[in-house]
Amino acid sequence: MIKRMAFIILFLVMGSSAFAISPLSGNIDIVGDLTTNGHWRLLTESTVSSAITSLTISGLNGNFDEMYKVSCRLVSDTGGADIMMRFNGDSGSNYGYQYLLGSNTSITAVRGTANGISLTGTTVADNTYYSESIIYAESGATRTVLSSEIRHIAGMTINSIILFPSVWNNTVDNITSIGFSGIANDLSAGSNIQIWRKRT
Amino acid sequence: MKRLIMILAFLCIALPAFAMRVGDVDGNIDGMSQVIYDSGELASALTNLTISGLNSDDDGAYEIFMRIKSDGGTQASYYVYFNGDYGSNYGYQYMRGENAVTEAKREGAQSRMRIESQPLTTSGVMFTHMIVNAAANLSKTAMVSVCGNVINTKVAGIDKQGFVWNNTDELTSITFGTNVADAYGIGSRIIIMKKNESDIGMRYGDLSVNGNISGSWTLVTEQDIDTAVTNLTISGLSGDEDILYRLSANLSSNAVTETVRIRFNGDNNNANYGYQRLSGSNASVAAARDAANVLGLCYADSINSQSFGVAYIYAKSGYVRSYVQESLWEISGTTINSVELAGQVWNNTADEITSITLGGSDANGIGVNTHIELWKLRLAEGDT
Repeated sequence: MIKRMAFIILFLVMGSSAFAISPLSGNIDIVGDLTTNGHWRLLTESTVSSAITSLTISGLNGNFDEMYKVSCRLVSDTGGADIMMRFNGDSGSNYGYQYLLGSNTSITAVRGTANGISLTGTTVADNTYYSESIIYAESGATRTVLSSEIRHIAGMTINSIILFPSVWNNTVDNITSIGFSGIANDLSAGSNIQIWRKRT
Repeated sequence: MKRLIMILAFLCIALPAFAMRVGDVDGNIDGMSQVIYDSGELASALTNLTISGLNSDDDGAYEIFMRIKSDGGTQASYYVYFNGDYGSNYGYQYMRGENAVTEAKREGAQSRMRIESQPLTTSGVMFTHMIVNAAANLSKTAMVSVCGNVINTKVAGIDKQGFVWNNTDELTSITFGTNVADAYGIGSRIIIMKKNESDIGMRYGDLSVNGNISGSWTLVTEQDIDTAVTNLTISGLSGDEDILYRLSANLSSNAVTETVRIRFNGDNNNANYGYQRLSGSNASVAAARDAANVLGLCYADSINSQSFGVAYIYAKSGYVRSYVQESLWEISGTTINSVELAGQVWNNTADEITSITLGGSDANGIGVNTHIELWKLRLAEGDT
């Protein structure tokens, strides 16, 4: 009898694909891997508590994850330079962009190369910046990034809205880290960076 | 009995080491983004809709999809505001394409966030994708892509908008309003998703879900092209159940010029599609509308040139199918030739979407290394 019950419990817990989870309250907190037919899941979230110069998220495997979504709320402490997103610490002129920017009554388009992907433009002290980026991370071809950004938020004024697609021309290296850096201590308290990854 | 207790104790301790297999999951999973509100397609028209009980200090951000169908006569405008605040506490900056005209505007001291690209006419349709950043102790911001006012194959405007609410209070409610009575017409729909924070809930080790996780984006298919093809069709879809699709394509061209367009149910008649685009190429800005054509999700101008595009599609039948897309075109080395923002429409209102084709313009133009993904927003079982 006991054996039977144990087998039934084992079957229910580990073997049945028809078993549905519907908790009465609270979330499902998975401490291991979640395997599905594909989902987005938060990999890491960092909130800055006191001003820093840079933040690097390591231990990534872009070839396995294939795509990342990066959400950033960046608060500038001192202002004065772009806060850049870079892959594998590469700060060479290996990035390109073509943006479309609306600021006040003008729309401008600019194409260029850079040593990173700007998430802010030149920062202004105490301004806030928000960006959402989709990164196609798998090696084998140029890495493409599609970012939308709100730049220079102060009070009720938004300086600009920008569609900022970029590329990283490295076709070979696995993306193992994504870094965010500005000038000294410009990443102020309240800045928040989330990296989501695709899992299958 | 002792044995049973020991077995149960063993299971409790050892479970995290095993992958527990389940079918559908109706609950929330930490670290995922899931639907917290779905109006369903409205069965009767509304003037205002308020979603309460939000807790933004914990949630941090919301992703909102709106498909609005106007029942309000002409010139219906649509607003969003937080915590019932109708004071002059909002600011915006947008850029817009309307036919061949480009426009940008900034204003502060607004009483709400006005989201339509242009006021909707009777039976006009609008589709928006909105991300609200609502972190604690900071002003709240919103970023919106708008495809609207859609009538048949005409997309009147495409917008990229940024908003700020100059208030650091916790966001507890979002109100969707309009200036015309009952302008959220029958068929309108609002879906809100949020990120699930860690909670004290049911704890598992590995979890293998063989069914769907309700209210989350679920991968329908991903395909890596290892032999060049002309078209790629994803069949077996149920657009009326899936509601929303997110389609991304990272094209590696195998043709001198290659355009990859989205088409539904094998409908290759350009007269059934339309778009409004806003684009930037080097220092040039342009806008254009075509009410009898499909704008490419991807475009490449040489062999091995790349292009990357992402589209959000409201798929359910009943009204014209509207979608927004953002793309990089013609990538070579560190050069991106153009950036594209577009609203598009397929004017078929009746047929369930059962297939999506990424149609190439040239024979075998979709080259090796092209990667395509289709995601669906699967709601709770039975909800459509």
